[in-house]
Amino acid sequence: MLSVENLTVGYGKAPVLNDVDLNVARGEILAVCGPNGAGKSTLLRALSGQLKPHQRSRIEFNGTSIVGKNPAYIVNQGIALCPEGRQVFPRMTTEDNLRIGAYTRTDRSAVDADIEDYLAQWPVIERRRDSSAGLLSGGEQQILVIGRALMSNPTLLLLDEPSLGLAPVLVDRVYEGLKKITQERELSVLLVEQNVVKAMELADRIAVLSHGTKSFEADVASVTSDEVGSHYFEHVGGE
Amino acid sequence: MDYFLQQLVNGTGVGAQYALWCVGYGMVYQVLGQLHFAHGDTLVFAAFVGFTLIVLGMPFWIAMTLATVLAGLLAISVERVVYRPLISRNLVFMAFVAAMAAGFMLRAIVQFFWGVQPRNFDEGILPTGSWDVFGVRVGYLPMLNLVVAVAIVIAFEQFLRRSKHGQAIVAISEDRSTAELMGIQINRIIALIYGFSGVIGMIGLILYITNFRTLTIGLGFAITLKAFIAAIIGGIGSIRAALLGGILLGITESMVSAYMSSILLDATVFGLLIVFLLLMPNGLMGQKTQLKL
Repeated sequence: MLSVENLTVGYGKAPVLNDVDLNVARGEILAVCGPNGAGKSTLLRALSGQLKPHQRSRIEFNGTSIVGKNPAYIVNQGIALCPEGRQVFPRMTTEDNLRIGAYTRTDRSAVDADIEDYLAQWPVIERRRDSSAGLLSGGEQQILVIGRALMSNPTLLLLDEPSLGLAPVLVDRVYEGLKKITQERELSVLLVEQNVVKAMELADRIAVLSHGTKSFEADVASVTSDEVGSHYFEHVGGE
Repeated sequence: MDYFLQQLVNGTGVGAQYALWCVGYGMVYQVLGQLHFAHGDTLVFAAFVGFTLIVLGMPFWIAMTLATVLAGLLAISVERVVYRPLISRNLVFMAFVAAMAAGFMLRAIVQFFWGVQPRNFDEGILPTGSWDVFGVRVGYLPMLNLVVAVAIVIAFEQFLRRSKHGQAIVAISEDRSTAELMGIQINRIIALIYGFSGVIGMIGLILYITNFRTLTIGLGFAITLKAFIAAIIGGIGSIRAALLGGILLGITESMVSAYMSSILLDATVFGLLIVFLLLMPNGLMGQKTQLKL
C-alpha cells in the first residue's frame, strides 16, 4: 500500500533522513521507534507532503507516486497525519475541529453522521463539543486530533507520538481507542512512538530509526522491547 | 449637549467607513501576519477606474460594482506578485516595505492617468436629508454607513463561523501548518482573504464617495493609516474589534475637530496610536498576541 524507497530529507544541507526504506501493507500497523532527533517526525512530515524530499526518494501510495505532492493532494489520496503535540485548533469548538478534518469531503450529511458517531464513542469529548478545543485536557485533545484525522476517511493514518506528554492512565485509554478504531476500519497505520512497550501492543511490525537511518526492523511477535531498545544507539561510537 | 450628540452621530458615520477599511486589513494581519500597506491605494486605484467608467457614461452603481470586483482582484494580485515571494522566504519586514512600495507605485500610476486634482461626483447619488431627533440632526448618510458596516460585520462573522471556507480561514489563523494537513489549499484561501479585504474595503470607499462626492489620490495612504490605527485601537483578532476600532476612531476625530482644532487632528490621532501601542498593544478587544512585523 505504502512503499518508501531511499527516502532522504533534510532541512538545509545536512540530511535528517538517509535512504530510508519502509513498507506498510493494507491493514497493517507499522511502529517506528527511535531516540529523539532520529528523524521520526521528519519521516511523517515528508510522507504528508509538508517537507519536500531529496530527488532520489521514492514514495508510492497504492501504486501512485506521491513524492513532491502538496499536503492537500495527499489527504485526498487517503493519507492523514495526526501531528505531534496534539495540535488542536484551540479557539475552534470540539465539533468544529472534527468538521474541519473533513474539509476535503463533499458528502455533508455523511460527515455529520461520522462526527456524531465519533462523539458517541467518546463521551469525554462529547460533553465538550461546544467548548473551545483549547480548554480540553491533554488526553481529550489527543482523542480529538485522532478523530479529526479520521474525518477525512483515510486508508493510511500517520500518527506522531500519541502518548507524548500524557499520564500513563491516559496513554492506556488512547491506545485502547486506537486498537478499536484500527480493527473496525481495517486502517493501515504508520505509528511513530517513543513508548516502545505501548507501540508493540498495537503494532504488527516495528522498525527503529537511529541517526536518520533504519537500524532495525522485525515482526512484533518475534522480538522483545529490550531487543528493540538495543538498536537505538547502534551508530553511536561505532565507526 | 446637542452639539456633543451631533458630533457623536457624525463621527459614527465616518467611523463606519473606517471600520469597513479595517475589516479586511485587520484580517490580513491576523491570519497572515502581513501589514497590507498597499490596501488603501489598491482601493483608490479601483475607484479611479470606476470614476472613468462613469465619465464614459456608465451608471454610478454599475461602475462601482465593477470597481469593487477590480479592488478584490488587485488585492489578490498584490499578494501573489509582491508579498508571497517575500513571505515564503521569511522576509516579513521586507514584505512590509514592499507593500509600501506597491502602494506608492499604484499612487504614481493613478497620478499619471488621472492627475492630482480632486475628482468630483454628481450630487444626488443617495438622499442627503436628515431626521430631527430631539434637536440633533441625524443624517441619512451617517446612519446608512452604520447600518452597512454592522450588516457586513455580522454577515462576515457568520461566514467565518458557518461556511467551509470561513472555517478554513479560522484554521489558518490558528495554526497554518496543521490547517494544511486538513487538506486546506492555503494559497487559495490566502487569495480569498485578500479578495475580501479588497471588496469590503471598496464598499467603505463607495460610502465615502457617496458621503463626500470627491476622490483624491492622497486618499489611498490615508485609508491605510485609518485601517491600521483602527486595528490597533480595536485589537487584532476579531471582526467586531475592527468595527469598534473604526467607530471609536471616527468619533475621536469628530470630537477633536469640534472641541479642539482640526489642525490638531493628526497629532491627537497618532498620539492615541502611540498610547495604545505602549499601554494596550492588544487593543480593546484583541487576543493576547505579540505584535509582530
